[in-house]
Amino acid sequence: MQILNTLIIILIPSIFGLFLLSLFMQKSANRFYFWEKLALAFPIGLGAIVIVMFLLTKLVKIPLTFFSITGSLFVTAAIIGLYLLKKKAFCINLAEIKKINKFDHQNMAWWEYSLAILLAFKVIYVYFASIVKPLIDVDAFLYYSIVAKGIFFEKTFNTPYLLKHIHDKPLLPYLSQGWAFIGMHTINDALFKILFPTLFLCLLVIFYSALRKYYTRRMSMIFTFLLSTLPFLVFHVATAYGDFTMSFYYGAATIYLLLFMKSFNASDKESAFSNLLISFVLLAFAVWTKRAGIVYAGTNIFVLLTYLTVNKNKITGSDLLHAAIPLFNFFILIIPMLLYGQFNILIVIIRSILGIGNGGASAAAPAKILPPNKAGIIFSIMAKKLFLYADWHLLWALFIVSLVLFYRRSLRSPLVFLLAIIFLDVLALFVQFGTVEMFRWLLDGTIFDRLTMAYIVIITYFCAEAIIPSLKDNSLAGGTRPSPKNKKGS
Amino acid sequence: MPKRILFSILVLTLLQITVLAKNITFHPVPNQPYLQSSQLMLDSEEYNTVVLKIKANKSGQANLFWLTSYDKGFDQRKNVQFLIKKGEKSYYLNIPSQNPNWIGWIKGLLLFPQINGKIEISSAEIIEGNLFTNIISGWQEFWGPRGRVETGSTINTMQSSNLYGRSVFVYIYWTLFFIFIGLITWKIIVTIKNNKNLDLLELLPEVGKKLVIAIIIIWALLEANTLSNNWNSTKQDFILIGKNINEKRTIINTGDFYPFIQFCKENIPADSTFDSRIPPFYNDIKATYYLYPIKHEKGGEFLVIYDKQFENELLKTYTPWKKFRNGAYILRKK
Repeated sequence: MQILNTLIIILIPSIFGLFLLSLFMQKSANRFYFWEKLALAFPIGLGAIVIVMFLLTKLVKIPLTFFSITGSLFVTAAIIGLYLLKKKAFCINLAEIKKINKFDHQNMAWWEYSLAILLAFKVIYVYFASIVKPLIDVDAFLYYSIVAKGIFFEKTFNTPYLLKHIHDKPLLPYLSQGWAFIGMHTINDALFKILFPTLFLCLLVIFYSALRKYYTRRMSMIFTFLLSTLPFLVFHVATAYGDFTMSFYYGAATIYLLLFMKSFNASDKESAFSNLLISFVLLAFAVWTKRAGIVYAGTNIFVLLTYLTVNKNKITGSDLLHAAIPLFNFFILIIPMLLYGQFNILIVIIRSILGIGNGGASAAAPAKILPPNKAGIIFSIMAKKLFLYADWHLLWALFIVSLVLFYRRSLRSPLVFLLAIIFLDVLALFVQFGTVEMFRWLLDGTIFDRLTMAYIVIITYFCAEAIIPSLKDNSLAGGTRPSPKNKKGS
Repeated sequence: MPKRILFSILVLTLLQITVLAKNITFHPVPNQPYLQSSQLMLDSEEYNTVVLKIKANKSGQANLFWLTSYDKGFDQRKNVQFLIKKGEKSYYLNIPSQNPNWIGWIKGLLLFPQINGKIEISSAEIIEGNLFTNIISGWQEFWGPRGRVETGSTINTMQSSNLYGRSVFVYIYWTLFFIFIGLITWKIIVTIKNNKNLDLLELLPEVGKKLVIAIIIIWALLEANTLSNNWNSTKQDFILIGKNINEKRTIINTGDFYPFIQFCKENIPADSTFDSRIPPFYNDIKATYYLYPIKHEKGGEFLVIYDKQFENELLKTYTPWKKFRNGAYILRKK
């Protein structure tokens, strides 16, 4: 029974996510791989459940129970289903399901099988490490999981005791863990962590699919394998912190933003705007996950607007309308979070970027007195942490190689826009560490690596995009490339 | 002939007879978990390697501290850590290569094993190291606890394994640098030989391809190392398989902390509040989580005390109510 209940907390968001995904993709669903759609369904469904839980508590004011949540999901899915039925546009179809067992394993070399086995091992390991061990990490006890437990017992997060534990943090980590306890009908602080390895699995599938749309199976596998090995990312999957969730949502959102640019450059506008819509839905959930999400969302929006401005000659009025829909959706999704208190954070962040912060909020206000060598200290700690610790294997060395030795590819559109996102995200670190409180955390080594993790998926993706096309004439880049019309079954 | 000389030098170096060696005796210290050496007076420059033969019934981490003529007592700055394996094994610690504070006259050593089991030092000596002992010391340092044993701080950062006191990444970056220089030099020579125009910017992507392959190969080796760490942590978690959640919580917490929490849950009404005096690190936070829906509140209706001396002042407010064992109680507000 416990296994069934544990599966339910994955299955319900996945099924609900499929309805939402069908709504977002509509006719362009055939541009996405079957497994990619499943991998998107779970995180989108999970984010949607969090919003439903928030609205049930704050707007409808009814207790959060299994029946109130699943009932709301059912009603919403039924309405979406009717619309989809009319449009005949569900995102997966029988033909795709029949092709599940037709895996593209032709011409697979021994080392590709080895990579596949290693990837499978890593996924099994993260599932094992997550669900066999009960909660052990202090912030999970102190913030997220106690609120989740509170939601299970009180059927709301809106009590003074729980709000004290929530502070001013966004609600997705609290409510998603609360959903896990409610879905399992018990407090099992080992099994509820199944959410995170499932997100990890989804991340690998999304990452692979995004690469596979343009590159060979071999190269897509190599870079997906590299992503799956990052020790600090893998370690965080087994914890109940918000950092990996942030890394997932922001990483996936940015990958789809780049896919939008690539499709748009290739004049495949239908595909482009579906990618953009998915990107901004995922980005909205990043805002719901951690305070820094709002900064990263700002970065992505800024870079998107820059891209649209640079490409204004190619853009028609209809394109602008299509680009506005994802942005509109994004704002609709984050409005509850902004009204809930994140608007203050946004103001503080803007003030601190403009250098007029008053130090009122530890998250983003700059220190009144900055030691002259503060940037130097940040840079020195950053270099040490990125290069001499075991967190990221050789990712940062690979990034530098991509930038310097494959500079032509790195500085070409649309990859240069991804580079701009990375640059702005790193810059945001300097702004954040400009505050007294954050600077202290930098010195005692508690936060830098976790903040870096938010865009580590993007760095890996950037390396793949810069390196793979440059290896075109190398035997390593051989193998079958999917034809644009026959993308399924890979 | 020169080959034979070189070979002889190599063999002699490997088999270099240790000139300086001093046996050390370690004594257990009453009521303390560590062992201490008899008083020494050795020049750290001459005696740089500690060789310990240890018999243990469990594997685990240990720290070796030392005392110099400048110190009044042992301190955290002067220690190296290593892994003790189950069975009888020899451990070579070339200390100056791992910690720069091995200086002056060495007055004493202290071995602090962090193992829940029995350990015995079969023999101990301090010697002048040679190539052979240095290689073993480096090997054992690489496979030591740094970067392998998960600690509370792993949630914030992951240390890398060290080799002779430096992160292995230092050696890796030097290797990659030399590969890069070698590749670019080779490309330049080939271009000049073929009488082609030398365009360095054109060479970069060509060199980059090979450098990427080198990075991926080294990355794979690093991953093999990580997989061995993953396997070790998985083995430690095997004990949790098949246990229910309360049994698991009992295992992952120290001592009888979780049974005490269950005792509190049974005895404190769910709709009440509690305050706590619970060491060590973070156990108070865990208690707040585990005991919920009993809410943690300063000056709450109940006071939970676990292995901590409490202020007599508290007895003015609280009265002893339930006893779990000596040192673990629940007090109730008067």
